[in-house]
Amino acid sequence: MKNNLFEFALNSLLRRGSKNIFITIIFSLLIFVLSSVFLITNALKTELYSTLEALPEIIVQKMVAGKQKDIEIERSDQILQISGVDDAIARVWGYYYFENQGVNFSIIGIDSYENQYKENLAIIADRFTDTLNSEKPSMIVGQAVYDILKQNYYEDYFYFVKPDGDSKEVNIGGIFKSSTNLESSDTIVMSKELVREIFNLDENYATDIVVKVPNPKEVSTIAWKIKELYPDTRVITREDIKVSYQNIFDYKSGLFLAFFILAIFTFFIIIYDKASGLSSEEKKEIGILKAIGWKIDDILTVKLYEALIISATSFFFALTLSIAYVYLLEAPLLRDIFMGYSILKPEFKLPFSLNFQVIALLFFITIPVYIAATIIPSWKAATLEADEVIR
Amino acid sequence: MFYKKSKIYFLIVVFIFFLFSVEIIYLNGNNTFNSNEIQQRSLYIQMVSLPDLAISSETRSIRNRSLSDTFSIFNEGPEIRDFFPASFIYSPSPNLKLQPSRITLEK
Repeated sequence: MKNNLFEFALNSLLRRGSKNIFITIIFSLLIFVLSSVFLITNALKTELYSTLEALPEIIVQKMVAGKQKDIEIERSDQILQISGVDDAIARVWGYYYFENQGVNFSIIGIDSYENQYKENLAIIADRFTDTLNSEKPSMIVGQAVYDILKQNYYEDYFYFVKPDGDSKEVNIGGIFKSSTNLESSDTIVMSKELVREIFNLDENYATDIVVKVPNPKEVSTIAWKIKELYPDTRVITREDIKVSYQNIFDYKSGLFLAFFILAIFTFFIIIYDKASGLSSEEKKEIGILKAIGWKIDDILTVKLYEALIISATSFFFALTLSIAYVYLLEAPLLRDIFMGYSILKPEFKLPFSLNFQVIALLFFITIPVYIAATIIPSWKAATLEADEVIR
Repeated sequence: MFYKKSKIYFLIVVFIFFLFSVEIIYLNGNNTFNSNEIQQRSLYIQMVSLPDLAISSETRSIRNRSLSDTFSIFNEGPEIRDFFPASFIYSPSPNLKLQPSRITLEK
């Protein structure tokens, strides 16, 4: 009997073929767009959270009149005195605006004499020669920076313009490997002394201080102690950064969802309207079925099958398409919503991770509503007397 | 016992599931980072210790958003969405042929 009803539902859908195919296409399209946005958000989130653990636990910045200013290096020694702090490193970094292309590079200074950095650089950079330390100043650049410099005929070296107008020639010592593209493409790493020279920074000052705390339970207490010690500082913990990631993605996918809700509600209103004002033909069909002895159960089962066939098929079809669109085609157009419009756009793969929560969320915001919008009007018609419906 | 149309429908469903599975298997094999790549990224982050992704270098709201910079003026304003055209003031370079952003002056 169940198979008979299923076959009947299929036939009934095919009888109104063009209309149902149209609904399936529109429904698939809506689910496709929504799931693509969710999948991109999820991929970028996975990427961000996977690198989060490697970040320092606390970042300390000096604030003057609401703006960040350079912080005294001696403060790092004071912070190191706090029990529980493993290391406090004064960091020197900043943005360099490259006028010819209208882009900003992030320049980061490291202690080039430390062996650990040398080893790490050898692992993460190609074409790396041990030149960061040599007499001729050099730097390691991200892939996108390298491409931009190359376009401007700086293949082996680059002239930085210092604040006083002088220029500083720096060799390109290496390029970061493509696996780090998402993080490294706009960065330039060089020795701290060189960064100070290019930005004309006082050697007693640093951009900010990063604090390493081995015990995660102590982070909030230490952050509070630093704030007590230096009330003019802004103390950012790794947890704060995590929250801000959450915010930006919630904001972006939320904004999109808000637009999308409009579209999907319009769709459901059309479905509901279509179904509640069942065409006289459809009403007649229900009436005849009742007259020849069908129970309300059977009629509703057929309608349920009809709704399930359309919605579930659309859902899985759209999901399959959107996974291909996001991960195989790298989400052209939609990706730009999350990318901004930098000229230094990195070439990278969105890392694949299938989040069942996301799929379940998609499933529950689309399919039950569609089924309800189809079943309820049919139930209303099916509960009426047969002669009343036919008439 | 299946009827003809049900059979065709089930074949379509099976085909979609087959595509879905092939996609998942392929992506699992090719689009995930291997341990070597994860280690490289982790070492990079440890070295530069800057958060955020390099997906937009012009707006503070994405790249190193949690940290301050020296060229944005209204970045502390809570009501201004920290997005490039909204929160930055700068004059494009005179020798710049490219449009630096989507800001255009209305004439």
